[in-house]
Amino acid sequence: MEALLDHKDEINEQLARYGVKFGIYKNGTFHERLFPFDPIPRQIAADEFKELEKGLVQRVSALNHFLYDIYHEKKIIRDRVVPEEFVYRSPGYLALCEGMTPPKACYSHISGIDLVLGKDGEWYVLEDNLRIPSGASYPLIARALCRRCSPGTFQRNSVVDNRNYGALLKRTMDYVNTGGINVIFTPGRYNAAYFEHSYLAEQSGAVLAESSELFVENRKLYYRTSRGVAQVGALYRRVSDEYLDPLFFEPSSLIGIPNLMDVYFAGNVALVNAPGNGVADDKGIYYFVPKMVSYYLEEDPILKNAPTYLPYFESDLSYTMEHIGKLVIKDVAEAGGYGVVFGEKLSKAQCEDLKAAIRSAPRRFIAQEVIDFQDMPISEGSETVQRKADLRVFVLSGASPVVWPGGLTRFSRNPDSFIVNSSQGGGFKDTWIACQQERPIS
Amino acid sequence: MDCMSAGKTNIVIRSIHISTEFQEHMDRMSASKASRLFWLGRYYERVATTLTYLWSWYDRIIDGESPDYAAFCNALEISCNYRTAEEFMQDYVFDGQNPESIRTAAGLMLGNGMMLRETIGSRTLSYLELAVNAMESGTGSNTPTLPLQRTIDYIMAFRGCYDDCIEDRNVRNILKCGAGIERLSLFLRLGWRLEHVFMETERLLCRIERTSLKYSPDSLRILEALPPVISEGERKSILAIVENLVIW
Repeated sequence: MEALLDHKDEINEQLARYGVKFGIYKNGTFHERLFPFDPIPRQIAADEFKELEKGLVQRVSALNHFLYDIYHEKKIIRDRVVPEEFVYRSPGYLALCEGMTPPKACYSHISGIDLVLGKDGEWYVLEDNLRIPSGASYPLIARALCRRCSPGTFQRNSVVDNRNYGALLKRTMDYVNTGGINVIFTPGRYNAAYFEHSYLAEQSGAVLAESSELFVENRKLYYRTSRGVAQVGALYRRVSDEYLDPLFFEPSSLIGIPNLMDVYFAGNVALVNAPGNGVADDKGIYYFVPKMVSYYLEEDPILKNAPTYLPYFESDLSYTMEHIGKLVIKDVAEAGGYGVVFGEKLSKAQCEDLKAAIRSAPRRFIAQEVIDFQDMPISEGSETVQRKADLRVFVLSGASPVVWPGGLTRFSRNPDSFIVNSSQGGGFKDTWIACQQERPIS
Repeated sequence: MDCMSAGKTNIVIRSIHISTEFQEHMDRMSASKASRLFWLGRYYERVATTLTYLWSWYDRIIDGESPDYAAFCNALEISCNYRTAEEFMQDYVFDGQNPESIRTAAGLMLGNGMMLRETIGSRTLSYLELAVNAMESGTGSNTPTLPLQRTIDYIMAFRGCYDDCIEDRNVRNILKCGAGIERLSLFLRLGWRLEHVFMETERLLCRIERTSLKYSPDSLRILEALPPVISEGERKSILAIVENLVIW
C-alpha cells in the first residue's frame, strides 16, 4: 500500500491527464474541477463481499418486484405492507407508467446502493439509487491509472479485476435492447457527470448523444446521422424523468426528446433505468425495503437499513420529537447530501422550527439514528488522517443481477462532516475486493 | 494460379469488410458530431499554428524589438486592445477571458474533444488535456515559451495519436479537413508563401471528398483551378471560398 502512496503525485497527474473531472454549479456558473482522489483503497475481504453481494442482489430483486407491483397490481398496498400515501404522494411515482411493463420487465438496470460500515462491523444501507446513479466511471479509470503508476502494488496484492464495467453495461443494455443501437443519452457538456457519460460510452461502445441528435418518428426512436438514421433499441438516459420528454413532463425542457415516452409505451425502446423508478428510491420508501424483501421473496433481508423512523406513524413522530437532538433528519425531496440535518448541530430555535416543519408535513421527512460508521484513512499532504466514508456499489440487472466487484468509496474531506457527496466537496477512493484464496492484501 | 485467386478473393473480402465497417461508422456519425470534429480540427490547428507563428516574437522582444501585433490582429480580424507587445503576448496568448485569445481557442479545442471521447478515445483526448494544462501552467510565467513548447508538442502528439489510433477514416479526414481549412485560412491571412497555400489546398481537396461533410462543388472547382500567381485581392476572395467550403 505504501508503494501506491509513494506514487500519489503520478496518479494525480494521470487523473488530470485523462480529465477525471466533476462539474459543479456555483452561483449559477458552471465550474469543473478534478475529482479529488485518495490512493489508499477501501479493502473488502472476499467472504465479506460475497455476503454483501447476496444482500445486494436480494435487495435489488425486491425493489424490481416492488416497481412492477406498484405499476400493476399493487398487492403490497392492498396487503397493507406499504401505505398508499408513500407511493402516490412520492414525487418519483409516475401515474402515466401505470400498467406499463418495460422490456424484459426490468426496471432498475443499474442500481447504486449506498452503504456504510458501522463500528460494529455491520454494513448498513443508507440509500437506494434507482434513477440515475452515477459514479462507476471514477473508480473504473482510477483502477487503470493506479495499475499503471504502481504495477508492483497489484502484483503483490490479489485484487479482483473489475475493469469490465463497460462490458457489463453493454451486456445489460443488449439484454433489454428492442432492436437497434445502444445510446447513452446525456443532457450535455455542462452536466456535473459529463465525464462519466462520455467515458462509459467509450467503454461500452455505445453512442453518446444529446437530444438534438435523437428524434421520434412513427413511435420509434432514431439517432440522426449525416447520412441517414439509425434506430435506437436501448437508451441509457442520464436525464432525469422530469426533463426526459417535454410533451409528457416538464414542457420547458430543452434537453428532452419530444414523444420519447410514446416510443417507450409502444415497447420500441428500452429506457435504462425505467421512468418512474423514483417511487422505489424515495427516502420514505427506504424504510419499507426490508419488508419488501420478506414480502416478495419470502426471505429474511440480508442487509440492514440504518434504524429509521417515519414521523408519518404516530409512534415514530413522538420518538422523533423526543430524540431529535441525536437523530439525523432527512428531507425526502432532496438528494446529493442536501436536506440532511443533524439534530445535535441545531440551536434551540432551529430545533423548534424543524419540529414544527415535521409536524406540519410528516410525510416529507424521515429520521434516522446517526450511525457511527467507521472512519477511513485518507492521505492528506504527508499525513494520514481519518475521515467518514461510504460505499456505492453498482448492481447491473440483465438476465440476472450482477454486482460489480468494487464500487465508489466517497469520503468527506471535512473532519467534522458525515457528508461525502462530491457536489459538497467530497473525494473518492477505489474499492478493492480481495480475490478468493489468493495472495493476501498487504 | 490457385494461390493468386485465393489472394484476390482475400483482398476482395477484406475490402468489403472495411467498406461495411466504414459505412457503419459513417452512419453512426451525427451532423453535430461531425461539426464538433471539424471544429476540433480547426481549433487545434489554430492553437498550434498561431503559437508557432508567434514563437519568434518572444525572441525578438528580448532584443527590444516590437513586433507588429496590430498588423497581426488586423490580418486575423480580431480586436487590438493591447498597449504593448508584451501585453499582447501575455493577453492574446494566455487570457482565458479574452474570447479571441489562443487560450480560449485551446479551451474550445478541449471542449470539442471532450464531447468526442467515445469517437476519438480517451488516450487521444488525453493529449488535448495535456496541451491545455501546459498552457495553463504558463500563465504569468516569466518563461512562457517552455510551457508553450509543451503545448505545441502535445498537439503534435494528438495529431500523431489520432492518425495512428482512430480506425475510422471519416473521423480522421474530418479532423484533417478542419485543420486544413484553418491552416489555409491562417496562411492566407498572414501572408504565407504561395507554395504553402497550394500544398495545403491540394491536401484539403484530396481529403474533403473522403469525408461525410457536405461541401460546395463550385468552391471546390475554384480551389482546384487556382492560378499560379495570386494577388493580394485574390487572397481575400480565396479566403472567403475556403471559409465557406463546408456547408452546414
